[in-house]
Amino acid sequence: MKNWLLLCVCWLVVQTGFGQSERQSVQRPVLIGLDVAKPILSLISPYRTAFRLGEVAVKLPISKNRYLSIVVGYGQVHSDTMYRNILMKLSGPYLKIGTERFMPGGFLLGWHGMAALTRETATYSFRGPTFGEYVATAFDRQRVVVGMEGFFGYQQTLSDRLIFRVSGRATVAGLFGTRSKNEPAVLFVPGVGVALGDPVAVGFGLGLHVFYRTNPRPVAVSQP
Amino acid sequence: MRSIYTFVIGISLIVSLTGCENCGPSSEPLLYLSLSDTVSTALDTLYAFNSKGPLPAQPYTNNGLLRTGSQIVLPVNLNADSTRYAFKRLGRLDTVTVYYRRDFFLQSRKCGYVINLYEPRTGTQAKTSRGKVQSVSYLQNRNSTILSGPSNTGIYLQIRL
Repeated sequence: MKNWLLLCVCWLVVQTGFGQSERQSVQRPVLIGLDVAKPILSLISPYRTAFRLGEVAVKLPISKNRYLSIVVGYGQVHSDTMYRNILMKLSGPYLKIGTERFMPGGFLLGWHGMAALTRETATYSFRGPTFGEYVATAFDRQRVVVGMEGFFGYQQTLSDRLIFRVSGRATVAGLFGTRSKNEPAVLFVPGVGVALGDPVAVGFGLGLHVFYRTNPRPVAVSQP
Repeated sequence: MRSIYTFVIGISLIVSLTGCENCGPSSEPLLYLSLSDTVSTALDTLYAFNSKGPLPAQPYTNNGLLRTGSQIVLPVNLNADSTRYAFKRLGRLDTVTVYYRRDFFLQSRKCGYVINLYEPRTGTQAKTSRGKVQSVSYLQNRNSTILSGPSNTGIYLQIRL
């Protein structure tokens, strides 16, 4: 995971460096963005479920309207009591790499392949007013997540340097690792979000990104 | 037309009586203890060993007094395979110990994990310092049927003093 991050950062530095010297690349800036929806979700804790989410996205220009998209994130969920008496703690980092295409009118379309590591623990309990609560481990394991997603979005330029983007995604991923059929399905998969299904998880998400352009937006000037 | 109504009502009744999933207890299951005696006498003291809280109020009492002959409802310790209780009668303190096997398993999304109590694979089912154990029955969670209602896991213990 660290090696992947290092590789991404190196690529970004190289791309940014070339961008300073080549006129063509000045017109295709690198975009570095943060998903601002995830910290909001972390604050409100819907359904008494505590989310801790963070995501950074980097868009590297490939051609005129195509970008290489690299997304690195971390997700953590502490669930409220679910299935009557089960509490889940699910967390892990994820990496998504794919391409996106800018379309007329500020719209964009893209896909990502994704990989994640997820640490999953769950406990179940029975109340014990006389002898004390009974708490036992339902599962405690790590699994690998591999999947794909498609996304669609709209972006609006806020200033020469800033872009605001709204996007929606649909993700399908497989969870690989030991899981008994007698164990409950997980609520959340890093990179997929609140998931339906296990070991094949389907998730939908909404992203609100603010992107920073490494090169300012070119301004049209009249020729003398 | 009337036969259609009868059919629909009949199906609805069957579904309503049999379709309800019983999840069983979400806290400590219960031991139903019967202490029978030739003459009904009052129980002065009743407590459980290793308890962290008080025993629940007894549903079956005679003028607020617990007596032999009435059914005593006691929680079972889920953190152990046996629970020991003490009762004081006619100035003498005696104990009752019940043994069981706990089975926790995931039943459904609605119920989550459920608990069933079974008789121990080996060894005694119950013992008492006074009198004789007459019968021990272990009941498991059961959904309602057309003929009977749902039942929760628990233990029925009869002791002849």
